[in-house]
Amino acid sequence: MHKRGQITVFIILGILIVAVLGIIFYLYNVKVAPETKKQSEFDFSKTEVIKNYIESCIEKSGNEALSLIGKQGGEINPGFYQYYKTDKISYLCYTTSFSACYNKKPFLSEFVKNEIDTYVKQKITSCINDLNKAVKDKGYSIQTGTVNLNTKINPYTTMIELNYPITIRSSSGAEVKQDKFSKNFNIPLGRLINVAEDIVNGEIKSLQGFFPYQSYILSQNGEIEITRNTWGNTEIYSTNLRNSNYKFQFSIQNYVKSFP
Amino acid sequence: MKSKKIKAFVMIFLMISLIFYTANTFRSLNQDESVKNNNFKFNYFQFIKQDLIPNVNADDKVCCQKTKVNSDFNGASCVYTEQNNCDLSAGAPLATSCEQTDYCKPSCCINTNGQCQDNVEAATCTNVGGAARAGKCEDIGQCKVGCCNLPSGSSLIPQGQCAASVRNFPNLQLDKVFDPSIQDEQQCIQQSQGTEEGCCVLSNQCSFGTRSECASQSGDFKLNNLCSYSALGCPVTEKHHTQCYQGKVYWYDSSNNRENIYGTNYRQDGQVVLPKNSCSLDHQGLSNNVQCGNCEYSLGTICNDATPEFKSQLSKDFNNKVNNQCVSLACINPEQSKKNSQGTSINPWMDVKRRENGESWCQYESKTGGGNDLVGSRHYIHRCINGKEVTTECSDRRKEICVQNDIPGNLIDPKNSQQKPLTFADCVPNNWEQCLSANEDTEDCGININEASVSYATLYPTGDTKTPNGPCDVFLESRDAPFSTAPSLENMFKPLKDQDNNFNSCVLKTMCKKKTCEEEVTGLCYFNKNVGLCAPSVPPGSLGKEQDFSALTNGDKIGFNFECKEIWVKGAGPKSRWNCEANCGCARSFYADKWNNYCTNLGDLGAKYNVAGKYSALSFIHKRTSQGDAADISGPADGISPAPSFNIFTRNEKPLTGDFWSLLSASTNILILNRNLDANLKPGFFSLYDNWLGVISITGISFILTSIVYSFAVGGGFTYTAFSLAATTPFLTSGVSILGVSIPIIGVIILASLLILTLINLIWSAQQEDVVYQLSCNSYSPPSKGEDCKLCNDKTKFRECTEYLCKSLGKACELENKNFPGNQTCIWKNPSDTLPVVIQPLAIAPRTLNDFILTPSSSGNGGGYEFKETLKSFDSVDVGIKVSSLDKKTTKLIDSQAECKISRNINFDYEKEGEFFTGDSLILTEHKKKIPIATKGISPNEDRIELETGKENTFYVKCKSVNDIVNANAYFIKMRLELGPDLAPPLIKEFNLPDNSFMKYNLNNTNLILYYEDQTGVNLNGGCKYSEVDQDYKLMESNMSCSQTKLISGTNQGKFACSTNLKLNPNKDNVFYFRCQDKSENKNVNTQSTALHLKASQPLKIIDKGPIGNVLTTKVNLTLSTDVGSENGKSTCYYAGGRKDLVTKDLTFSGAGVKFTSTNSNNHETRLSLQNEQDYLFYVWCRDIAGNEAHDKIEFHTTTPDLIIEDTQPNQQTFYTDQVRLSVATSGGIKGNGESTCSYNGDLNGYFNEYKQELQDKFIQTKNLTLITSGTTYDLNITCTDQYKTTAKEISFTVDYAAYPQIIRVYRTQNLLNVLFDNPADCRYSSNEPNFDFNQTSTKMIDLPGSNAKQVQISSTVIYIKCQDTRTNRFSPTYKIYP
Repeated sequence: MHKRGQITVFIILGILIVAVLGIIFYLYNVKVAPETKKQSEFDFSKTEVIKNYIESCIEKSGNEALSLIGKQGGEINPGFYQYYKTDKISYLCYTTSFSACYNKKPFLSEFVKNEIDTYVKQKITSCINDLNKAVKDKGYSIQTGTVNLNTKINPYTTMIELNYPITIRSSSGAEVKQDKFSKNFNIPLGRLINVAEDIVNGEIKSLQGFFPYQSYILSQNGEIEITRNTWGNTEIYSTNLRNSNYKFQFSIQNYVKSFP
Repeated sequence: MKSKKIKAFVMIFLMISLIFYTANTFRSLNQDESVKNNNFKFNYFQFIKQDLIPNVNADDKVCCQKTKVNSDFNGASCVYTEQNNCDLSAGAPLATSCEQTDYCKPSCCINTNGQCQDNVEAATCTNVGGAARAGKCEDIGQCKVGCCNLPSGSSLIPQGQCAASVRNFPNLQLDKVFDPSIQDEQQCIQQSQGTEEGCCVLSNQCSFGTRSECASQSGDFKLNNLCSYSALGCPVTEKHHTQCYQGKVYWYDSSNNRENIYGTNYRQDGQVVLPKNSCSLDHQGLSNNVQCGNCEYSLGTICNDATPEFKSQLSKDFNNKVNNQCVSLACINPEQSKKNSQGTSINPWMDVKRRENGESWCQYESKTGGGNDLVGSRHYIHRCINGKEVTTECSDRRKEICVQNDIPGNLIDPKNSQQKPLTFADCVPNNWEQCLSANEDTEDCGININEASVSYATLYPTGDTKTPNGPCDVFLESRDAPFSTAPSLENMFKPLKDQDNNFNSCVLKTMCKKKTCEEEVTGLCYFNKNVGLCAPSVPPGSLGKEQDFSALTNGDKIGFNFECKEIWVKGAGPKSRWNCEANCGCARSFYADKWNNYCTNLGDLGAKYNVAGKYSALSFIHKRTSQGDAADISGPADGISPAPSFNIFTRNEKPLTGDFWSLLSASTNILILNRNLDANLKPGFFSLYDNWLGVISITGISFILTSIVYSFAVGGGFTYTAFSLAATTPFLTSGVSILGVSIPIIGVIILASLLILTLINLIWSAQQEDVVYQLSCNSYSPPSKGEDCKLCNDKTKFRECTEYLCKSLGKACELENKNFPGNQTCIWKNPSDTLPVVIQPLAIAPRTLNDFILTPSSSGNGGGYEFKETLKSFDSVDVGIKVSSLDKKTTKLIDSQAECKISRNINFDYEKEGEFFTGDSLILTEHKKKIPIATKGISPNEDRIELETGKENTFYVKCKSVNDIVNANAYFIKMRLELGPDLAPPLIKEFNLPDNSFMKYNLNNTNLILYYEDQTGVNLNGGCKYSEVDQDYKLMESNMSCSQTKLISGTNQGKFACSTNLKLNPNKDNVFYFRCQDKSENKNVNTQSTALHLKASQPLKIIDKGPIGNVLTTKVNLTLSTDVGSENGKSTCYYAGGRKDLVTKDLTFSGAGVKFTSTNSNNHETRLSLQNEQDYLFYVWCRDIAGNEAHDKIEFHTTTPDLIIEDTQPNQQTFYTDQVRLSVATSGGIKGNGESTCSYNGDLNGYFNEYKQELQDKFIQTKNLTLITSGTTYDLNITCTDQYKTTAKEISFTVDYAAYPQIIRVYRTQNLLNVLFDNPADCRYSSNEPNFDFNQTSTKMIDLPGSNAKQVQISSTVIYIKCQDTRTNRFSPTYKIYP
């Protein structure tokens, strides 16, 4: 009996300790939660909050898109490509015979623009959904319009513009509105697309597929750097501006002398 | 029971009936017509094995008009693939290749914007929303290009595109804006109606920009108006300063609004003057043009910082305002060629006044190509990059050579007929070894004998057996000549030309070498007609690194050494004279010159000039080595001709070019293309070279020798008798028939005559002698002393002083600060050392110094040494010496270097007599020599370094120090050799396979040669025997075939040789025992066997290789590791290959293989200079000492390390001065130390071109700017490039030097006046005087702590306050305050 009493005491002590720890944990959470909420309180006097958020989404997805475009011959998800090292490099011009290759990506600039639009729009939508959810979770109402995205590929810069009306309101009636967002990328995609088109046309018009890219470099006042590697029957072109690290590479298979 | 029976019967019935049914069914299947036609038989067993769902195969493929977006092809058009990948909504696919479908026919594709693209498959065009039109775009009116002049700008575009654009401008019509007659882009741009820019007038300020920008600020947009136009009332002043904008120099107003181009006349109405209407610049002759800032990038000019020279030309008013100027992108006045002593340009193509942006060109320090490059010289490449001329070195020691080509203008810009050719150059690896490989003998190179004969006759129109000209002007014994024919000189020296097979073979081989040399190793090799061999166009720099040039090494010595033998013959009879019958010319200088010329082609070898014009005549030896009557008549060797003029080697007509296309598109490793050489590995060029010589000296001379000896011994003697008999027999017969009785008398007379003739024939018999001349190609010997060392440091003569250049200028030259590029200095080490070197004894293992008697006995230094033992008469003897000099500081002997000679004459004249100790004039510390046994007696006045048996041989050595001091007293080396009757058995010296040699895996037999020494030799068959058991000579079962004469050349000269084919137990250790018996009276026989152990080996394996993947350098180490084999992987490895895109076939074991620089071990390494960002493929193979081989290939990609901007300054700082220093620190990059060219652009543009500091791992560059605009924040983008990689970083800083204190607030506190200023300031006041003395400290206002507030006691109705800004020191105006 005496022993049984001792066990009971220990059990009670254990329950007490667990209970105390539970209370401390609860109180801690109660205290921390409002602080967290307070930290992320929306400042309705500043429209930059939304702008910065959406534009950071554009920047992130835009950089991803431009990187893939440069590495993969202007295509986000190449369908007709040559594997080179670890990259899938899209064919801009292709044939399997000893003849001039066929331009597989006519109007490349338009194609690339659509690729970027599609990719960024998809990513932005996901990014915006996250924002909507977070705003609603905070107890605000949000009203949005349709996403209109437009990529402008200039020679030395690329700009992504987003038209997306968004209004956030608090229960007290304060609101913040924004509808135009944009991000400028210091990437000479337009110039390099122009170079790629020149090379494709040069290859098509060349004598038996020999395009003297060195003379093309000279004709461009040395502004462009081009390297060409042969990979089986495929030529892998890599282009960049002398003062820029951004590379645009693509594949061409022209005047195939023998079948593999 | 009954039911079971029924079941059994049914089953039996079914089984039997199904057998027939099945058979009948398959028979009917095979009766089908289509099956019959295809010879197809239905096979049940095949049928039941097939998959239930058949696999997709090629037969199922179609040409999809468009693929599904969710397929592997992601919506691509015209793809030949499985049908399930097709997007059928785009149209039904056809089961044929895309080329054959109408929907994938090439077309001109026109999109909705009117753009046209050629050669687009119709379906591809449709899928991008375009319209496919048959034919070429240029034939379609809609696609004809012209100038489309729109308000948004003008451009050269197709008519359709212009039409689409015009739709945006309702008031415009296509025919008004599209001008098809304009085909020039520049001309078109000049038609532009301009962009809508103008001044945006706001309430308190004005800004110049676009209409949309103004609209966003709700300003009043004044189209095409400058903000400085007074009518607008903007608070700005015009022409305040200049800045670069779109590459042109523009004026900016005081509010930093862009105005007109600098140099343009402003319009009275304040309208913008467009660039096309602005001042014009003479772009071609641009040189500090102070009149105009209308730079044009496409014409080769761009805006940049103004140079002091430019500024000095400006008027006073403009001096502080104009900070920019147009600079040429072209390099105006690039570096001109250096002149030789005759005032002629070394590189005449450098003498141009202008190089366009992007052009590159070569610079050489001497004549180049054709093997002419001088010792110490180097190639450089110049590049014009954005107006700056950048010079870089091709690799030292001519490991890289500079090649240059002019690219025709029509290739650069086909549309511009005015486009002039531009120059393109590159440093490419000098794969000189390939040229040596091209000398491999082959008759299979795609040319036939007829073509070869024509070419050969053109190359070598003259030449015969006596004075050979071409490599096939040699002669052989006519083997086909019947023995019954009386031999004659004519027969014996039948020219090779008259022996169709041999001559044709030689001609074909020679022309194949030429073809391989000139066509397959384009640009880097040339065919040296003098000797009929392929040679490097640019000799590699071998000086001082001779051991690294294994391909040029024969044995231990660099260069080549051979004997040319003239055949001299004296007919029988007392009046006969010696005449040269064959190969006459060995003694003449024209012959020596030819071989010296080839010698100089191979490296820093032979008699030639160094880059400072010092000639080394000693480096090619041409001398007679034989004695005798014929030699006396033939005379001494002429030696090479006197040195040609140095000026010949200091002038180039044109740069190295090579093949245009291959050099441009494949500047490296063009050599490996399409080579189809013998896969047999050869140890080096000189084995091939020996083969060549073999044609002359061995094949030709030996046959002749044999023939002559045989003929004169057998033919010349006996045949003469036979001839006499034959001649007299008819007469004798007729005599018998006519005279009858007189036979005895006549017979006696005839016999007596014959006897006398025979005696005469014996006394004055015909004789033959070889007169031998030695030709020796040795390493270049730099001039003595070091008087030219300083030339290396002279930047006007040499761009960079390297160890190679320094060493080439003098024997006593040494490079200091080797590890500090840019600070290397070449000095004459110890110029005042006038003492000769001290010669010391050097024992060659297995001998030690204890085997010598030294003089002086303490050290042997300076005196000499003598061998203690009497040496066997069969041995050649290794001797050595070491040189040292006295260190004046420590008075101890230290190792030194010198060239040394050896002679039999104690007082020999060093400059004229003796022969080089090592066979070469190399400057060495240790000199070693093997002295052979003389094969014939040495006369007293003969200085032949050979050993005479039975005598005491003494040789004398003198050395010449690097400061040209020769030992006055010769150092002696003495030894005795024994001689006696042949009482000793043959001494088996060695085998062609060393003891304990490894045998190749699976080898079951091998040829063996035994070398022995003996006075009398052994019998032809069985003189030497062998057995697998050690037993008595007589019991040994296997005989060897033995020579009856001693070998007369080679390393076993003076020894006898026996040969056999040993049968081996494969992959096991084998032991054979050998014994010989000589032919002497004693028949001396070996009582002990000499054993030969041959070891088994395993296959060789390559266990590691590198590099693989990306390599962060262009200087790549090719590495291999080998294992197992015969010696745990020790082997010799080779490689062949290069840029992957140029390697067209497997080159394993190719004759073009190059030996790894470091090999003959388990680990093999070679260093390659490659191009950047290229894929490389090298085939590698190794062979161990047993002949086991392994091969592999190495693939990698070259790239270079990232260039990193470590630090940029200033950033986020404010300057209260107009002087700002920009600095950028870089690391990494191609040179590893961050060396790069940096520029800044953004609000300011320019280069970091004022101060550069090169640290070990960092490169710091600065630029001082004077900024005249105060209160401005400058955002700059700093960009650095090392020509391979580019990196950028942004900085921002503010300049605010014009600030002065301004009052923000004034208030009273009781009787105190408080004044708050915007900037920190020092303030004074006065109660009554507005112009009070500011320096009077008593009037200082009280500073209130923690702010820019000041306080003063109110003591009057007015207070005058004046302040000075403590940061900018600028004064405020005097403020008047009524408190």
